[in-house]
Amino acid sequence: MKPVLAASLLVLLFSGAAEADGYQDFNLGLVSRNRQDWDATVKLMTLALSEPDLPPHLKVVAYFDRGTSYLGEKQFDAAIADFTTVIQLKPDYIEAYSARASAFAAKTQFAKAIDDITKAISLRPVYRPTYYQRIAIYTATKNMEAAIADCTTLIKMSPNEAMLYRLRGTTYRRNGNYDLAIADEGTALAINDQVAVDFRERGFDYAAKGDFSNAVDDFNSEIRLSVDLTLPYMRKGAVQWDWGKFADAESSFEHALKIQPQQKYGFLWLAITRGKTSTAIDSDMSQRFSASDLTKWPGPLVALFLGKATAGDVDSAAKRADAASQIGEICEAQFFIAEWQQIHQLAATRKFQEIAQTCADDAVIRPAAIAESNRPVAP
Amino acid sequence: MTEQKRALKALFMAMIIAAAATFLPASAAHADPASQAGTNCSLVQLASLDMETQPDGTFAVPVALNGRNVNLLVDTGSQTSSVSSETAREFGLGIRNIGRVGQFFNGIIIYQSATIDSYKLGESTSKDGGDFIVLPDGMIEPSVYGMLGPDILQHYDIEFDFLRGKFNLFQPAICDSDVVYWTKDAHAELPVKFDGAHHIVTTVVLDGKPMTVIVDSGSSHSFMSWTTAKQVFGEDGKNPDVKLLTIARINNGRPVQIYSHPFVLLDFNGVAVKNPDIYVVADNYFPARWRDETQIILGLSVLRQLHVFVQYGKQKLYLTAAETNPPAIPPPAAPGVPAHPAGP
Repeated sequence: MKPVLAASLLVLLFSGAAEADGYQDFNLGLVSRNRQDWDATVKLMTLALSEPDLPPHLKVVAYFDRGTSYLGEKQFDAAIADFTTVIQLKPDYIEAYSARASAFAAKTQFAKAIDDITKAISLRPVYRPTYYQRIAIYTATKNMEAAIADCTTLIKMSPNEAMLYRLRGTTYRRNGNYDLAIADEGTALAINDQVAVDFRERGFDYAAKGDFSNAVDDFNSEIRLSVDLTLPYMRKGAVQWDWGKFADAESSFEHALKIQPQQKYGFLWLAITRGKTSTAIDSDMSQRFSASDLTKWPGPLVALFLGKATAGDVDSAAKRADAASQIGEICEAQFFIAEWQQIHQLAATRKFQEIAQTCADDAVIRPAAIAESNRPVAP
Repeated sequence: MTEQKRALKALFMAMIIAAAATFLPASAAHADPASQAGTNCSLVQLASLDMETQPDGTFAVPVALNGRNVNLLVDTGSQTSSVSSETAREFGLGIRNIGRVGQFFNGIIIYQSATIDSYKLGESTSKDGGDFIVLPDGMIEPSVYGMLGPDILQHYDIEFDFLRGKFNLFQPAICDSDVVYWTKDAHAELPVKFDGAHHIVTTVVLDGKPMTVIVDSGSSHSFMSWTTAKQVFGEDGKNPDVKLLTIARINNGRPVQIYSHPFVLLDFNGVAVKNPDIYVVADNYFPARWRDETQIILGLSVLRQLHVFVQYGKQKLYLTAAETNPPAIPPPAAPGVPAHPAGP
């Protein structure tokens, strides 16, 4: 048969046709899935799976993609059901175990999640992302020894990869093993000393063990490798503040605010540092933030220091936060309110030691609160 | 000689060639089998491989690498066949740093290779191996071990039957024959050319505009650059119908802002795809050379709606809709060769 001539007989393939059969629904489902349109993917894959003519070789993927979409929609039970079907149809499908583990973890069924990831690892022991997934769950459940063991397995697999030493280093830190963390970050830097994040991580560890001098050195290296970024200056300033070197801290926060004048945390840290150095906040500071800037966290704290809100307003705003961010906001609210009370020589509502206990282990405020609780009380 | 006998003879020749290839050095093994197969015009199927469709719509096929059965993605858009870093570790392959030799979409740089001793596609073809590039960690899913690229695919004629889940390999055609064996429905025939990496390059018409495309079976999406969208379709970024769809880490690389464009018709010389799903993205995500030589990367978002047959040797592309009516009389199948599947 001769090929058709252009425009003489077009075979139109209707994407989007309502009467599409299983294969067309499946293809449209793939397009939706790749657009991360989870709702449409669920509908289209459900339609495809209900069609008697969906080619059997596509069923596993149809269930898998629908499961992924349920996961995207936080319908974890439906996702688990679909991934379980995939595993029944194809017991060696590694991705299905990993995906089901994500759903179990979201439901805080961590033991089941670990079982699934362990199965996935057993099917392809060299595939690193699956270990990362297990390390994340071990870390979330504070099983740090197991997390460290997985990091060590990865390092044995690829001993010349700096990022794996960084990963184990941060895991050691979460376990309180600062010296081991510093050693791993040193190994990462020996492999490549031009990676800002490795200086940053080691800086955190030096700071955590109270070695502020080395911490500042590392944050200076991070600054050198990060062109015009605010956060390295903020990190350095926070360590100098913990160290009690308030004039240096003031300079660091001023640098941060030069780069990003509306950085709210930069403003807050500068404000409490100037409280220590008895320097007033620049008069132009209040012009930097619009009313709308001051509603979203940490805006209410900025409003407090600008005299546009009370401590009670800040307290209420922190308590209104959703569950995921409430602990962090309450910790920050208590700390900055206490600092504000010190500056204004008001009676403290809470002691810094108590405040530190309300903060998560990795909260930036926690070491600052501990530093404050260890400082001699001003006469 | 009947068609069936010709097919049998050609199959026999193909089997001899395949068996011999196992013992030949790589250069000989890669010689065009057609040059040794006489003047037979029948389609000779060398392998019919099951497509293992991936969650994003790409697909892998079973390949024996160094004697071990694994799945490789079929990627007509890559430069060279590849294995993942994980596969290189698992197989104990020595990884060599060879400098920057190529780049995948989204700036994924390739700078390592490893040697594969042998590969085998299906039951009837076995080849000496060669250098495979090594993909960065985590670039492909754990169930997939690498990619089958144009360096291997170019030695066959290849057929993508997405509906039935079959990737078929044929002995390269040496003369014109009835390639579209799976249907008597309308089909399109397009001339193709191959660039230096044996990418399949052809011209299609998108909403009335002729466009140069690369047929990329390794890409789940189809892409056009903003420069092309501007030059050809006058897009200035202000068209309200062009919308930011999502931000995705394509190839596990940088986040890519993906825009949709309401294209209406993609015409392959008579076979057309309505409402083709072609994304518009920033130019810098395209490998540099592709920016100059092609306007659209035609991935599976479009290709899956088609049944595609590529003749590397004859430089032709045949297309029908994915779903077609079967021919009135199915072509005969040679013994030992998987029969051409019947239509739906």
